Amino acid sequence: MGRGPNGARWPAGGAAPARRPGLPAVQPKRRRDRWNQRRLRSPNFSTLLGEAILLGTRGDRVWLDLETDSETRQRVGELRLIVEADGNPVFEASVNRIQRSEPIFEFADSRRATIRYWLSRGAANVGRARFRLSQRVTGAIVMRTLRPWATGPYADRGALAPGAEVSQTCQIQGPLGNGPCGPTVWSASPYFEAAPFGILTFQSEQGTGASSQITVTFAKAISAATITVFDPTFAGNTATARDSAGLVIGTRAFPFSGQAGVNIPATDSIAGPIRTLVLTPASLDFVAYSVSFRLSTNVRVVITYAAGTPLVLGGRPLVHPSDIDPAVMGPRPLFGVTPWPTQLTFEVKVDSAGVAVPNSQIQLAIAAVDSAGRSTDAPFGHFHGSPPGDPKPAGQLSAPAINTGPSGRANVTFTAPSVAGPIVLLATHAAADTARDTVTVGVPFLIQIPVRQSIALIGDVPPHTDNHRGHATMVTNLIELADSVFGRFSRPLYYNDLSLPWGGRFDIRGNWRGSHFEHRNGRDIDVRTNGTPGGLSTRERTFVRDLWESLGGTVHDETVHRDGTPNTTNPHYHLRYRGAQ
Amino acid sequence: MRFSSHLGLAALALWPTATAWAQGNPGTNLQVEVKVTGVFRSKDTTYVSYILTNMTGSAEVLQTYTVNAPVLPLGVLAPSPVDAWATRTRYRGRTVARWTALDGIQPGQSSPTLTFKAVGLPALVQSWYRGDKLPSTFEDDTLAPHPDEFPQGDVDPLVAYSVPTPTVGVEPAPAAPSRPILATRVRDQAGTACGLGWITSASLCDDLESYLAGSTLRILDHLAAVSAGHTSGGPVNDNAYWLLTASGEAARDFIDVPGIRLTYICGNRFRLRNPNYASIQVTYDVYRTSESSSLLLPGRTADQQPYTESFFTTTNRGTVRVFFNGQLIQTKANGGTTCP
Repeated sequence: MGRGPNGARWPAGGAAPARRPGLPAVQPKRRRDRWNQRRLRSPNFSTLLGEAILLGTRGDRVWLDLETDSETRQRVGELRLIVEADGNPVFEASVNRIQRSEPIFEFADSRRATIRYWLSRGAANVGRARFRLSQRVTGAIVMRTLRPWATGPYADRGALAPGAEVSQTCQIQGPLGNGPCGPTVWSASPYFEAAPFGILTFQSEQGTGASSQITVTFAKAISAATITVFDPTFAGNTATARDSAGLVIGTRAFPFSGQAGVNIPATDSIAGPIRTLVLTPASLDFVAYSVSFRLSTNVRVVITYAAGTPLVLGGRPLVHPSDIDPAVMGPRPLFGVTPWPTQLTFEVKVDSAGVAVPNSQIQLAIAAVDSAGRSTDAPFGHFHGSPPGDPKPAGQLSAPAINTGPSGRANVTFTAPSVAGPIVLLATHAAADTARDTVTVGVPFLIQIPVRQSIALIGDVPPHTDNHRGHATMVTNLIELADSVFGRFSRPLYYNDLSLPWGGRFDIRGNWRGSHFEHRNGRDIDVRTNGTPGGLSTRERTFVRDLWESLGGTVHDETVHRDGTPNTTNPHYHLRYRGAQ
Repeated sequence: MRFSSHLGLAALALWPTATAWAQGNPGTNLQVEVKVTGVFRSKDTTYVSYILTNMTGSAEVLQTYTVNAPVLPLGVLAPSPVDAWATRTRYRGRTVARWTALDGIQPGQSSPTLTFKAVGLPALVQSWYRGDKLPSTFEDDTLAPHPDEFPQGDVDPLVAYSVPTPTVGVEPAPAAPSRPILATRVRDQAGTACGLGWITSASLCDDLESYLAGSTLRILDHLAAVSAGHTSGGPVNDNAYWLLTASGEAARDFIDVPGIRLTYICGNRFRLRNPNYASIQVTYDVYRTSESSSLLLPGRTADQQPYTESFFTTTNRGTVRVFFNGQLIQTKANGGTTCP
């Protein structure tokens, strides 16, 4: 009594179950009961319990499940199970010591193996041994069994890694009839090994000249593929690969007990995803084939930046925050001889082994890195997240998607947001690896106000604890101002907010908007005028405004609100510098 | 009446009077009288002094006064008490004479005398006074400031938050001065002063123009007319008086060295002509002898007098050489003629 697929028992004395495509034919054996029996007629008698021809690859395992009845167990120590692989003993154990689901054999490489199971009797004379023995394989395929072995399900090897998404549908045509392939199994690497992944096993019951056709549909275009036909049984077979138009694109003859791959040229890989593999057996009455796929997926979306793009921070583009009107807040720093750009133009293409694929529809997306300053956005000074409904601004793209047209290339423009920080660019295509890159939005060249006796830095409180970065000339002037005040009045100046480390919007309330409305490019600072410590006398205030204006800046009275009411929360002077570089 | 374009200003409207009233931007809501109280020259250095009066109707406290200085001032003197003032010679990279009253000058009050000095000659320059009010950005308020609320960008407070007014300052002397060139300066300055209303008499303006227009430069007459007009209630105000007087004196006192001419008369007699208004002390010697002496050449006392003449007779016969400030300026050989 054995087990059929999915654990179904064959009826005792019943007819063989209908053959399912892709699985070897099995012969049921009539049994009176559930047990297999062997009569052990003499000492040291060994009887063959079963044999299986397996097709496997490295790492595939054979598991043994043995159950004996109580009578057999009384003769513990006298009954032994011996397992041979290709004539060599690979496992031996007392029947009583065999645990369920015990591994007994593992494939070291891709090959066929013949497993035989012997029950050996010791010196004692045992009348009858009853057992239930089942074999289970992981990965390997049972091609044929001489006994009604059960076979376990194919093992799922797992999913493909991102960028290597390939699905397989198999349609078997020809003398075997139609039917699906075995289950889809995929590797976790961009290409999967020439071990039976995506295995299809079929048989031909007809003679010489019969052919079977395997149609493989790739859900995603590939640049190159090697379809390996694993033919361990017979020599003289030929595998031919054809494209969707039926044109031969590769052919290979198979040596005995070997495997060979049919290569699909890369240049033909994008036009159509369907490949047909035709296997033509030479002469045989039983053929078992397995087909594995070795794919290399080097089709990818590529982002390329225009010549002259400012590259900083390890070769990444740096784009100046937008919404900083040079006429209002002073000129932008120069990149070479031109103002630092607020836009970034980049080219996208689907690249297949160096060739730009025409008419490719590429989806585009941008996302701001917002980890409240715990990740790559930490250097930018925003140690806060986003309030509900107010995501961190990411800027704008000129289009959410673009077609590369006949040239296979297309330009996209990214406009920076007003907030500094890293922005992730994503360019995706249905049949290519995704392009992902990070650009930086920020004001370059800002420097920290140094520690000095004449300067007291204040306002470095959450969520913006790094708030004293400024334009170089601005910082120089602030030092001179403070030193002059200190020299004349023997007291420091209290400097509050200047700008964040990379400038951009300085949102006091940590909500990406609102005030400060200036303080974006290191050219604005708040100087305490009232209160203790730091309040300025009338003479000190007048001196500060006189010198700051002489140095090229302007002084603005923020001790009152727009409606004329006193600013009691934070009265200060707002000092600006709008001079040239 | 000839209007001056001495500073390249094409229209009178660009020259508000010293008592101009302005309203609008912070710092400009005040009325200040800028009075020049003295312009003095010492060798090549000119000293200019002012007194500022913040008029009673002003809405702001006077805080800063800045005078454009085409040449870097040698000094901007802080009046007493010194710790109540801040002075500067540079503003946004350019040279100025600038005073800031740290306590401010209230409406109805006047400043002490503010003085600066620089190498050069008196000239008409631009100046600015500034009140104590500051613009605000309100950039910390809930609502964003409107772009039109206050001047944005690189604003110069002297332009946006100050009141311009012409005054007397110092500019570099001409590279190759001569009395006619210096006289032309004075003439132009007088014309501008008339245009500014610093001289309120049209006939006087005409006279001043004519004195320095012809081939005969009537510098003394010009100076006398300016002085005569500078009386209480007279047509010449302090600014014009000090400007034109200092500039006129510079022209008057200019030493035309090449104009000093040595002429042989007869025998051992020679003549020296001095075209300058100033007395000139010269020395002379007889070449290749030990004879030398000095001579004071009197200056001109009237515009119509083209020169003064001085005669001298040498003991030895020979070529006479004349020196001024140690430099040889004239040489004349003894002609060997017999005097009649």
